[in-house]
Amino acid sequence: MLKLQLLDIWKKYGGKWVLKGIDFEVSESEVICIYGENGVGKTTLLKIIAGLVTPTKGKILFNGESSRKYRNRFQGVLLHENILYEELSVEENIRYYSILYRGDGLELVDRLVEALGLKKYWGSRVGTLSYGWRKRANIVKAFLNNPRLLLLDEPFTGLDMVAYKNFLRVLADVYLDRITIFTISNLENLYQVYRDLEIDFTIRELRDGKLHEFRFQHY
Amino acid sequence: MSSDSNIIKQIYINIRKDLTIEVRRGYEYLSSLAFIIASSLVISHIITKFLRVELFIPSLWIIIVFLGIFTTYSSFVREVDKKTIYGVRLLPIPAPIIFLSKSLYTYILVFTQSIVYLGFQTLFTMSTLKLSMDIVYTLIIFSLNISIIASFTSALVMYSEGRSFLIPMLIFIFSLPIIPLAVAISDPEIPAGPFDLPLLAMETFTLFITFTILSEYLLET
Repeated sequence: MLKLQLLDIWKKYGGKWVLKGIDFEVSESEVICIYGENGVGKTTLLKIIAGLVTPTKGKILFNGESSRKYRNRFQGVLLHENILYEELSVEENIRYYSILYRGDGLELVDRLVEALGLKKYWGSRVGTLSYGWRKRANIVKAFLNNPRLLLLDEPFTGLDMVAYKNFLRVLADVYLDRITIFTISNLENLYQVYRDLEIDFTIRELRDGKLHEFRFQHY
Repeated sequence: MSSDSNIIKQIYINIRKDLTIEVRRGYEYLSSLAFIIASSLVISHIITKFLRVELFIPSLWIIIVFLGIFTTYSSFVREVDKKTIYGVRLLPIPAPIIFLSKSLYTYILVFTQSIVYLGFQTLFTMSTLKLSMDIVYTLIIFSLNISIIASFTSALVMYSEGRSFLIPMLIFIFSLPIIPLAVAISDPEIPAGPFDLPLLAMETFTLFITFTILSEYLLET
């Protein structure tokens, strides 16, 4: 049974507290959406969970283990930035990472490549692709190790409607046996995902450095 | 055994990726070639004008230090600039393996460019200088030494805003103990002890072990 625990996470940037004591627990097959306006610390929180940013205070436990090295074996991370090598083609990037990840998720990757229509840019260098296509290539990269902990930062921005719907379908099909956390900064997008994603998911709002329950009637 | 071959495979995959990127960034190796040609022209002019053939090898060490400074930018620093460092840090492989891969990649760059420099230098001076095995070994070990220093410096300053200043300064500081030793071995005018080459090798090995251990802390935080 997978379990992710965020224990009293605090983060200070330039003298200002961005996160103020976040306590949070997610179990296997749960899908969590973190909603918040720009600059409230969603990406910071996601990077802290991924182990890319060190919290000022607090601890992350995944299956009771706090080490990032341990989490790296299980997590798939999509960041807002392109983390693929621009000088390499999509195929070369995916092949490079899949060898180092030992290619556990290749079946899932094939499905995503198909769903996102990435095949036609498979041989193109990442540096020549538009934002939307880079995003798709990064999504595929995030699934390479068939992650049990899926961390997706703004996964739907930059996708056209067909890719968006296909990606949602893949997410709905694979959410079991893993923990999925994604962020959204736009309220309209949140409503749309709430409507289109065919599975139940929990929404938490990040505001004033804390996670709050999200209530639709407030808006 | 399978774990060892896995480590070698991981290192090989990383080096191949970095070299492919380097080759595709044509303007970078063209600027590096321009530096090598310009510096060998200047130094060969000094050598031929003042008939100081003994400057040939010491100049090579200086060039290697400069090559180390330049390649520092194409190591971890470039990964940070391009944000690909996130991908590297998320890999399920230990930090020392990543550091080792970068050091060997830097070594290939520095060593290849040193050989090109030697070629141009020989051409421009019309020199008949014979490279002794001592000099060749020193060249191999010294390039490795500078490559390890360059990779470590790159990891050390990758998030720093003042890295343009820090990189050359740190490389000079780290390489300071090794330059006189390398020059002494390769200059026939300076009597070198029989243990100098092993000493250089030992110093390089110590540096390698120390920096590999420290890389764990640099790449994890």
